[in-house]
Amino acid sequence: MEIGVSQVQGKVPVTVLHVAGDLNAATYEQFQTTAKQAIDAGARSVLVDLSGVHLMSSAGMRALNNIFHWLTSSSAENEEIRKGIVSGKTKSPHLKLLNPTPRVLEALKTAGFDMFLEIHHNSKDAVASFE
Amino acid sequence: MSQPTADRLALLYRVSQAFNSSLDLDAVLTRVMDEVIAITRAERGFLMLYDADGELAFRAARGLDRQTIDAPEFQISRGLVERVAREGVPQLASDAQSDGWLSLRASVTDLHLRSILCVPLQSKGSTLGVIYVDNRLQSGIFTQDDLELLSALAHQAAIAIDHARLFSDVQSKLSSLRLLHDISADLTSTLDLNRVLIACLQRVQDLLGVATASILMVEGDDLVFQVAIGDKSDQVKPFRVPMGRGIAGWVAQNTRGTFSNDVARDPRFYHRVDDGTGFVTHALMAAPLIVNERVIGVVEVSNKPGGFAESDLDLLSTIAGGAAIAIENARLYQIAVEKGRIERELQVAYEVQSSLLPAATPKIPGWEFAALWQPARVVGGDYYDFISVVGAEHAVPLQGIIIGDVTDKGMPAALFMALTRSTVRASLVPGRSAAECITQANALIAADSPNGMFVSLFYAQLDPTTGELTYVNAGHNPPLYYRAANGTLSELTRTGIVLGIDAEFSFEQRTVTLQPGDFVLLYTDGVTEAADAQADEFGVERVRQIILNHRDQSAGELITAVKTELDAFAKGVPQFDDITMVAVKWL
Repeated sequence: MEIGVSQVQGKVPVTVLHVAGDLNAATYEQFQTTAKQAIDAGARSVLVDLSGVHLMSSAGMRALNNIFHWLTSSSAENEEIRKGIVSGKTKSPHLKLLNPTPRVLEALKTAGFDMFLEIHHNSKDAVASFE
Repeated sequence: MSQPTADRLALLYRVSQAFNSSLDLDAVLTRVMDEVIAITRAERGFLMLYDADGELAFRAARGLDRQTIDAPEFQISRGLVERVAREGVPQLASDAQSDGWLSLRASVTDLHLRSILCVPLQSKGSTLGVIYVDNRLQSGIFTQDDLELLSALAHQAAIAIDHARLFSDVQSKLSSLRLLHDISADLTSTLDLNRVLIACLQRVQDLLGVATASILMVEGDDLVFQVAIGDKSDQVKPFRVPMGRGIAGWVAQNTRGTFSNDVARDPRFYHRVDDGTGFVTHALMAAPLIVNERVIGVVEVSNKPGGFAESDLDLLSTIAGGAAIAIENARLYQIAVEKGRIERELQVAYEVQSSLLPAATPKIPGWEFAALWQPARVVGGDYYDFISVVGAEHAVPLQGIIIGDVTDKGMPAALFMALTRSTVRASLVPGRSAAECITQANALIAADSPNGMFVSLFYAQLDPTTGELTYVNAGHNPPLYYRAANGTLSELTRTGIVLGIDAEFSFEQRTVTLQPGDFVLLYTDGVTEAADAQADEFGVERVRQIILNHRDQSAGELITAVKTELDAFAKGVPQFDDITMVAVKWL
């Protein structure tokens, strides 16, 4: 698995993680560590480009879950976001996914990750959706 | 035969007896000198032998009154001795003061030596040393007879010296062999590493007569004391010797043994240990412990009376070789023991986890229940459960059916699985709907979920009288529902997210109504994602086809059919994920 990190300016600065390869038990830690480093360095809006991911196991989703939680701290604003997410009104404003392959999309949907993570199929729209 | 001649023959006899009766070289040499001085009326005499470095060294020095001569090397003519030793020709000076080149030697004139007799000790064509006698008072005291006698005696002595040396060598080799034998016996008799090493050090200490002996092991960039015996040995443990520092550090870095008989003047010496323990090191010798061309430690000994020699280092190096093997064996043994312990613990964990699974399938007339649970490792994160529950609007007990799949595998997953099972069971409160129960379970699991772990779970409650199956699918692979009426398969899809993401998530429930001949197959992704040698996946399509092909068979046979085809598909590729299946069929 390889991960590239890039910065894109939308309404806010967006950190894009370009993942290529399988996201599974062998690779998820590398993936979430890269994300953690970006978050620790100040990233608040993270877009994960999944176009190069052929397979995502539950371990890969565990990493997404961790990244989601790291970006959603316990501040008042984020408490609001959580309530919106669990009630089904909104999705994560800080972590979004881009271009999952059909197979990965199916895995995400089976587990219900599409219930709290926005899934985009257009890079420009994805970047622009961060506020 | 004149009396003096008889005395001389008797002397030769006594000396040869002495040579034959004893193989202790020093004792023999002393005896020889005493006899020689007595018979020649020399004032004093000494015997020198070449040492290992090719230097002539005093071995027996005697005055007339048998007093040992102090520092004789400053009082005799070294030149004469060297000449005799070099040329192998005996020298007799009846009046050294007037004898050619001898009179020129400072010691001859300074000491007023009058009579000197010096003969070489020769054996098998080589000179081993010399015998020297002199008299400072009388000139002409030695005769040609004395020279011949001393030469004959020297010849016998040289042979005896050769024998004694040979004997000493054999004895030393035997002693080393015995030591090595004893050590290897120790090494094989016990696998308790520290006991082995201490036994080894004790033998080294006995053999070399050293004050202390210790073994230091490489730990990162330092050498740390593993075992130590002798003075202050109980205090050295906390000390670490940096690699490259001290004699031990030098040995570890240079992969060869060394010794220093005056550490105070050896820049390599590391003072910290002495400073800390109060021990005073004079001499140190160390040899590396090498396994597979890598230095794993150092064996070090200190303060041998008289100092260390090359032969001591040879011996220590040989012992170090044995000790290194012992350490490696013990390490491998520890790993084996640890592996065995882990395997036993895993076996217990397997038994505990197995006991968390239902001991038997439900027995309800008209219904068949079957299950298969096969973790990828000894324990796993999959589980299934059957539990009798009281529904919200039902008068009769319902049959609860659960299948779950925790992220991760092995022990962490197994622990999370145990948590999930207990939490779900506790959440199945009588009178509550399936959705309410799972929403409650999620809240509890999310509160305890470590490191982003979650569990996908399918929970169904079956009314066996009506065939109503109400389910909550929390992010689990959709179970396959076979309708006998039209021969179709459908999926019992998601009604909520996996458990453990957020405590606030709520879940929905759905209901399907089974008819006789219908069945539901629950499975985990270990079934559909099992791969063959080409990394192709088994896939849900194959599962669908197999159960359709076996639709008229029992619940148990459905599972067996899927598993049989799965095994045939994988063709020996190791199982990667936990495999669990549950089948429910209305006959």
